[in-house]
Amino acid sequence: MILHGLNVTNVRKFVAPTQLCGLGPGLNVLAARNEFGKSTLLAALRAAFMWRYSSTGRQVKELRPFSDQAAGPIVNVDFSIGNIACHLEKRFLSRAGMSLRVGDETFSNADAEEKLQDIMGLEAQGRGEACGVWSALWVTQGDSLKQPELSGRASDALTACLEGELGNITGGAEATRLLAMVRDERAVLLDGRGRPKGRYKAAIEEEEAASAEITRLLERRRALEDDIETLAEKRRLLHHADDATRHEQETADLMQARRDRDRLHQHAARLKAARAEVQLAHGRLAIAHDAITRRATMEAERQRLSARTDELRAAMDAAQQRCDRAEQATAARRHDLQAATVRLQAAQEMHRRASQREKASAWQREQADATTLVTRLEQAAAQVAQAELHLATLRVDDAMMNRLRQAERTADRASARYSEQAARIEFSLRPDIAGQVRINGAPLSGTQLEITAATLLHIPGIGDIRITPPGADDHAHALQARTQARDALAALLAQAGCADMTAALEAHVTRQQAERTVSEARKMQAHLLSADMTDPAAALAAARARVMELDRLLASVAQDPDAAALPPLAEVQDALGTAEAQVEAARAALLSPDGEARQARDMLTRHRTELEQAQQQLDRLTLELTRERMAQPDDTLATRHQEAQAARDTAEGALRACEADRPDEDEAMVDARISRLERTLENRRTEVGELRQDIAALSGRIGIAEGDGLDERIAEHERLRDGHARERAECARQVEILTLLADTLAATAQDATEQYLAPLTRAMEPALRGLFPRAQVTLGTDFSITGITRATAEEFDTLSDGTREQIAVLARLGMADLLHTRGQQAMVVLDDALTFSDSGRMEQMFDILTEMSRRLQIIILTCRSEQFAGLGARRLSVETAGA
Amino acid sequence: MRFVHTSDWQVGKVFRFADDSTQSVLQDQRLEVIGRIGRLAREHGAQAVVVAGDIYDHEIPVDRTLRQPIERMRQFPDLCWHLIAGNHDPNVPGGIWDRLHAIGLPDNIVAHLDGRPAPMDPAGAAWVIPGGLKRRHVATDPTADMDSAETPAGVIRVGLAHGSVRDFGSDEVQNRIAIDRARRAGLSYLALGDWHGQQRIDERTWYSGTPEIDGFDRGGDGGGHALVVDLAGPNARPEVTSHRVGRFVWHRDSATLTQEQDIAALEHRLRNIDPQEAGHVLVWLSVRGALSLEGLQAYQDMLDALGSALRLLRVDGEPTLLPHADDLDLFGTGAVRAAAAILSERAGEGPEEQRDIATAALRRLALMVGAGDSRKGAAS
Repeated sequence: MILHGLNVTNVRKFVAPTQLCGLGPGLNVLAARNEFGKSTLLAALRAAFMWRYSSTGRQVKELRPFSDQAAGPIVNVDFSIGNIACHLEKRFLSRAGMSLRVGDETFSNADAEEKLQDIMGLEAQGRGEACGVWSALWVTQGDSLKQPELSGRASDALTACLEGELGNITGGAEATRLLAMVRDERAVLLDGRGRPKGRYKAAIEEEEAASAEITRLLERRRALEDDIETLAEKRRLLHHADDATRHEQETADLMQARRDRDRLHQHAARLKAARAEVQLAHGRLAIAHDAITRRATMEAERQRLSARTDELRAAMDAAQQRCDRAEQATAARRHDLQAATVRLQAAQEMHRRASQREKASAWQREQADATTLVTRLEQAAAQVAQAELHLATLRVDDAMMNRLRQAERTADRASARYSEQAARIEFSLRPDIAGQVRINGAPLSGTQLEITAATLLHIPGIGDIRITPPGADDHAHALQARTQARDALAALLAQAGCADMTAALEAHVTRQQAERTVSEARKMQAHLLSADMTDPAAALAAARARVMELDRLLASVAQDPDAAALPPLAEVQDALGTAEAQVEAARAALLSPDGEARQARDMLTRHRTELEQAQQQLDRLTLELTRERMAQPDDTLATRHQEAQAARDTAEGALRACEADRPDEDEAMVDARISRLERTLENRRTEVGELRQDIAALSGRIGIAEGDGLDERIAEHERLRDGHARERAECARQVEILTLLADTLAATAQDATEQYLAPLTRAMEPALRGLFPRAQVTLGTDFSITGITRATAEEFDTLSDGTREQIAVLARLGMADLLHTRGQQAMVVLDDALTFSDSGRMEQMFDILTEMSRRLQIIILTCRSEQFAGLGARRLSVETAGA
Repeated sequence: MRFVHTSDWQVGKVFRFADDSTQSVLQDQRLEVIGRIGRLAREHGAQAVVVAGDIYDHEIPVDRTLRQPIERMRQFPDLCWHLIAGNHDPNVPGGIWDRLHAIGLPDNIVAHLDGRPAPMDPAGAAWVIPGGLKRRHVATDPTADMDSAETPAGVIRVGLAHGSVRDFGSDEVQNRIAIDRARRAGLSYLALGDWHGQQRIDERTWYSGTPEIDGFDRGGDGGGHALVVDLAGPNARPEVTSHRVGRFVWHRDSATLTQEQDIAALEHRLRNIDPQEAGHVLVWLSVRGALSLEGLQAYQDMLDALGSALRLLRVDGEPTLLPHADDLDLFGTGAVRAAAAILSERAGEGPEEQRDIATAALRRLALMVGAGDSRKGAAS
């Protein structure tokens, strides 16, 4: 196929009729700037061949002019098939239609469309699109990196070419088609991961669901059987429990037991009454007996009290006599005690006087010692006072001495600093002029001089020299400090009463001596003091008071001139002891009769009190006894007692008769029987009620379960399960069949593909090796390039953009060349392709394109005119009508 | 006295092999046949119908299933229907008969559950002596009490029981009925149920068989009928006539296919089971043999056609592929033919399952190639 002319009207930017000029066999290049409309021209070309004129799809609408959306695109194409000239015109959207002239034949609209598809090898794809190998050979902008996509008729055409190359039919395409069908069929049953889907999956799920439902229903069936068995058992139990005969018998037994218990209760009441009567009779008898006994007791008590009062009166008389005797003895003993007391007082006086006489000599010695102590204390006090007086006159004590020394050191340091501030002038003057030189008006003497202030040195015959030492201010300060220190020292010396430091030192020594004297005087004084009285003044006062006390005692002894005549002290002390013993003896003798008298008085009082009480009791008892006998004489009392005894005997007889009449049965046993029978009847009532409830509940449950028709439902679900299982097995079998078929077809298709791809590979390899020497390509069954082998095998997708683009272009050229060789129509259009190629590869591609263009028409649309200038191609131009 | 003897209705029976539509039709016909039995009784002037057990297929049917046969019988108030319990619907406590009792049976239906004789007709000329089952399986003869069953003198004694008069070699004897029970018990007629095929045991003892066949294995021994019994007197020999009441034909067949003539013969045979009512024919076919690829295609075409014509076509087995060099020509040349050759080789060797799959794959491939050729042919 050779494209000779392309004319577009109302296509995007080309509103006016626009002609692509210069087209011819071989290489054709349209080099123009961006947005010139190159891609629009290719789009118009594709639309003319691949889109039905009646299409209203988006891509067709996009062909409309930007400025006039109502205008319908028109494309005219002149081309030739072999030597047959063809002209194609297509109008889209507005007044859509087409015409096709092939040689002398002209077709229009649908016929034209069909004819066009036939001669171009196109295949209708729906939605107004037709597709063929052209979509792979006419490469739009941006698609040059993509592999050519071939399907359907395009693939068939290429395959037919390849198989024709081989000289026979490999069947690869047919096998691949069948393989796709098989896979499609299997895809109905299995998903992409090989898991069941669709009816296969549904069969599995429904079989499982049916099995689960069967399990559930069987479980309900078992529960129902249990319920039915339980219901039968409950009914049997109810029949047994609801036995009327047995119920009547048990009721009669209960009534009889209750009557037995009533009889026992009545007997127990009678027995109780008889016992109470016996007890009452005993009580009455006891009362009568107690009354007799009490009266006898009272009589005995009255007689006892009468005897007692007589005894007490006799005892009172005896006690009175004893008391009188004791009082007389007591008076005699008191007289003896008074006499002994007088004698003791005389002995005590004598002892006092004898004792003072014995103490007088000791008091005299003590009085002399006390007087001596007073004297010595007075002397010591005088010595201390004198020494202290002397010490007080001496002012240079240790503190003063320290202050003086401190002031002296301060003055020395001030003087030293003053001297340090002075400028020293050492000089040696001739003796003849020594007196003539004057300093500050005074003659200069000595050999050196310290100058601390501005000084005027006058040298006769020469003049005056003023010397001003540096730091006059510091020097003044030093001088002032020295003067203050010296003044302070002088003031302290004056305060100490000393002329200088030497005198101060002497005064200090003198004071230290005086302090030692005072200390010694105090030590002497301290020796005179007792340990318990350290105050000298107080000790002196105490000594003086003791001297005065002793003087008084000695004076009192001197006033008793008869003392000397007294017997010795020892005798006096013996006489005193004897007198004291007598007094004690008289006192002791007084105690005995006094106690006797007291005891006698106490006894008398006690007997009197007791007598009074006994008499009162006797009077009261006598009165009470008299009253009772007046109310109930003793004979009456005896009669009552006899009647009570008779009544007791009667009651006891009745009790014995009642006890003898006691029923044989035990009341507890009867109660237990009643309780048992009552419980039995109650339990049966409860049991019957519960059983009826259970039976009702079970019947209801069974009715519901039976109403659900478990057996029938189980059977129905088993049928469903079996049906699903058959369906599942059939699906599994189909999957197995399809898998085997797919695997077998895939294997044979692969073998066939490898056979018929060989010519395409061979067709591509010359061009490919022009670019990649010694390279080999690997093709897939869809004619896509899966890899390239240079030094090593490389996946197509891993290659660089430039290499992939070059290989993709070479693949299209190879296909076109193969189609052309096999007599098929082929023409290549590349829109802005090879954009990723470097200059070296581009040159190689030019060579390949040039070589290919000897057999094929190749149209290149590019914006890089300089780069494609060296291609030696036809230069295309675009002309617009009226421009 | 004239009455109809039937049994083994087994209403509610589920046919596991059937699809939903077939299942529905088969179940419906098990009810419809009751009407046909009633009409048969009317046509022959019968006064009663005795049903010898297994009215129901399940001990616990759904309520609708429970009521359906009752309602069908209610439609014949002029007939007295005498029922007993069978092994599929035994009279267990709380079971199906209690449910029926709770529902309440129409006056024209008598369920003989207590084993006591009862009049068969209002005049009391004949008495039913029932021998229904109280459990699915009983070890004792359910008709044993018939010997001592008391009935008024001079009446016709009709025994009604469910069980087997033979043990068929089973170790465990269940529901076994003495084969001479009619003679022992002085019965004018013993109406039996349990066997689904109609069977005469002796002149007074009959199995009526199921009125609507329900299995392939019982299709050929008389199922699908009901008996009209005519008794002139207690000692008169019963006149028993069999009448077809069933609708479906259950046919089991087998074929060995080795050539296309075999296929044609089989198809002819199956189509002629009931040429006028093929939709009432159910076939269970067992197939073996070996066919060429074309033969397999023809066989598949036959199955497709019969499957549509018959009510049910159930097929076991499949003819294997008989490899033939010419067969591969069907696949043309190239890859498809190579694939067919591989499959053909696999179809002729290895385990049966593998051969089966390979044969099916080859058939599938042939169908696909054939469809492709047809398409091309149609296009040309």
